[in-house]
Amino acid sequence: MPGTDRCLKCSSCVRACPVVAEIGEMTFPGPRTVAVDAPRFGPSRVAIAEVAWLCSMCERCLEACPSRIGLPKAMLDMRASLFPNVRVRPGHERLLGNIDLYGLSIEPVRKVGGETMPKAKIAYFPGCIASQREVETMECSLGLLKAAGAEVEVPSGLVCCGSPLVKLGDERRCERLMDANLKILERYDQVVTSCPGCTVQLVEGYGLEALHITEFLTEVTGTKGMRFRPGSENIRLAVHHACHLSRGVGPHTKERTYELLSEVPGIELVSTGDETVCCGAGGSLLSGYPDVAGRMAARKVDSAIFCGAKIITAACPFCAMNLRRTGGIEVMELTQLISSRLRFPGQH
Amino acid sequence: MRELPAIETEVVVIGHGATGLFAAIELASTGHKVLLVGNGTPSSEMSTGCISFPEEETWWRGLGLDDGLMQDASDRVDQGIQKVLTVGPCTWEGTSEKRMALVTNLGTIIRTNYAPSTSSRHDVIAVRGAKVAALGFQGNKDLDPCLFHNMLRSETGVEASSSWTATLPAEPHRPHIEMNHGVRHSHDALSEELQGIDADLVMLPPFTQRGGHDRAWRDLEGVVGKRLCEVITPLSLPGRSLVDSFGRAALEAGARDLNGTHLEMIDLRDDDVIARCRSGLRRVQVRAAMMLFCGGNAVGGGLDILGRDVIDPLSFFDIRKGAAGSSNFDMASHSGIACDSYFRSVRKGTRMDKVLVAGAALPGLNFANGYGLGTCLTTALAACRAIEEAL
Repeated sequence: MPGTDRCLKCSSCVRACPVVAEIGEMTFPGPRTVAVDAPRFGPSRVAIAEVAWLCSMCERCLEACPSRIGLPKAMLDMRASLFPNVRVRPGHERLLGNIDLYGLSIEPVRKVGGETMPKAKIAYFPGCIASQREVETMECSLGLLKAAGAEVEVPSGLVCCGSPLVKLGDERRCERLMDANLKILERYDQVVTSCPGCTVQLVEGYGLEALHITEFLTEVTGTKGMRFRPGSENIRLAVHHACHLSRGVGPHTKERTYELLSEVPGIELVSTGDETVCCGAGGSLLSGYPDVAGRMAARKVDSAIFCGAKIITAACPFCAMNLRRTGGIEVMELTQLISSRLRFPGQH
Repeated sequence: MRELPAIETEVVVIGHGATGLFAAIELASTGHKVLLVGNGTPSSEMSTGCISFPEEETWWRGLGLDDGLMQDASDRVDQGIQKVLTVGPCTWEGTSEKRMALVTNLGTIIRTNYAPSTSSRHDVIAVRGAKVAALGFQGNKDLDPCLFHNMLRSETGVEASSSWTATLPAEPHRPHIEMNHGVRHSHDALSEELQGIDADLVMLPPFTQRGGHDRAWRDLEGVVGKRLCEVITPLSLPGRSLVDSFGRAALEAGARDLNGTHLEMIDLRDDDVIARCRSGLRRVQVRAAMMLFCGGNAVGGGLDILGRDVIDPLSFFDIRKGAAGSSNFDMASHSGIACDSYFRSVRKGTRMDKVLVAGAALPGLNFANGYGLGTCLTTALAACRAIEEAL
């Protein structure tokens, strides 16, 4: 229950909103107007539909609200009520088309999964982005899981987890996908994901025991099995905390990220002060409004460059992809960064 | 749901508002192991940040607390605040001798018996005789320097110079920039502009984000060498700077902060207090010798314009049944949290007395416009003393 009746009209959420900060209140009026005021005294639904998909679902407003209104949930409710009757953005139309055709949110370019292992009780759920676009993330994650001593397999036949559809407000399609995935994932004791959006969806939507890879590597397997090459020179590294990880999966994941990074030799962390600010990828903003998502990512990259970072890392393939689009700095997904420093047997 | 590794600590403080942070500072600086559990925006962040001590306070007598304890605590609050906040050089004596205000460099006023005001006049009056200027940012609606100038002249006779700048923000539609290292370049441009203004104190519109606010203003003040005041608008109550400064001090004192984690259930069956908390999708168990509950915003009597319940406390906390004495807590949570048994019985040393309550979570401690900050901090110190005695 979002509890929108508790709103004090203090505008804390508007002030905290990274989309408002980027494109201004005139273009996106902020969580309060869209999620709290519009459902009650909103002018026209057409006018709200113009802006309702500009939210990146970063949940910063939830932190800022002194009355603890469930603003992200209220925003999703708003979208779900509008969805059947609005003409969606071209990017969202493509996304829905891909879901109908392939069961993935993006057009697949390769086949994933199917190498079964006899004893594996742990499934790795790569998600659309890591399996089709940020393929290195999937390969590096599997490599790290193996190095840490976990018996993991990627089941074949997995489709999109449904998180993008929840964010769009399309509940009907989402249920179909969930049925398909659940049949496969039920066979495993544990699911490990790379994408925090998938983690949240698998736990909250499916009710599965899913862990993000940062949690799994630090809490379940530990990093003892990993051997690192000694770092020859220090890399100045900026960290981006993905919103759905640090606020969705939980703030403890920030500690986990730093725990993993502290294992890797030759890394010098740079504090940018805006680690937890949204990069603009989430909440269907990247597919619907790639220009806005790009500007938000550019701002983060600017900040990292200004602080003298050479690489920026995020424990989320979707964030990594969006940050990389700016082209301003080297972006490495967290598992990719850790793997690049791993020493494999026989290597010196 | 998989649980996170359990955490053991000496004292767990629930709530990271002014009360919880102040108690954490006190306990951590006396060498106790303190864990802070807090989530979201506390009500003190929305207050005026004015720490006032109402005269002839007697509310505690009905709760079985003695005057000596409260007097002692209120003296220590004064010392505590001066440790935490940088108290500015400006003191102002008003018409009545009792009305004295100390203004911190963050625009937070302490020890004033004036009704807290939601305008920034206090800050300006506080430096009567000093040259005041207002600098508006083009495109930022929160401070109109011309309006400020007129209002100040009509109300106090003080002439403030006023000007607009286009330096910051870089784009007019981006009124609230983040003051992080990454945007130092715009920071530099602003400091140059400020150095060129002939005044001792400059009023600025709010332009920093939550978190890092304190550091940003301090940095800027250090560079510019002038006192800077943020105008008080619904977006920039100095309560934010107060909570920011307290938060920084708590971390410096050695408290561990579990930010973003909230309390779901208090388990009192064992000798220790077990706080079952939630961190995102996961549960985390905190085992502590004592608990100090300062979640005033989550129970009746917290943040509220009228001073009534905002949120039903029962929907927030599940106090496990069957615990010795927990019916007390249960009953209390229906109507705010009763404090008498906690404060009093802690000295009896019974098992139940491991949970103490302070701040706006106490019944009767709800004040409009941040009136109660002084009182809340006093209860925090009283509770700290009780904890120190019990440990």
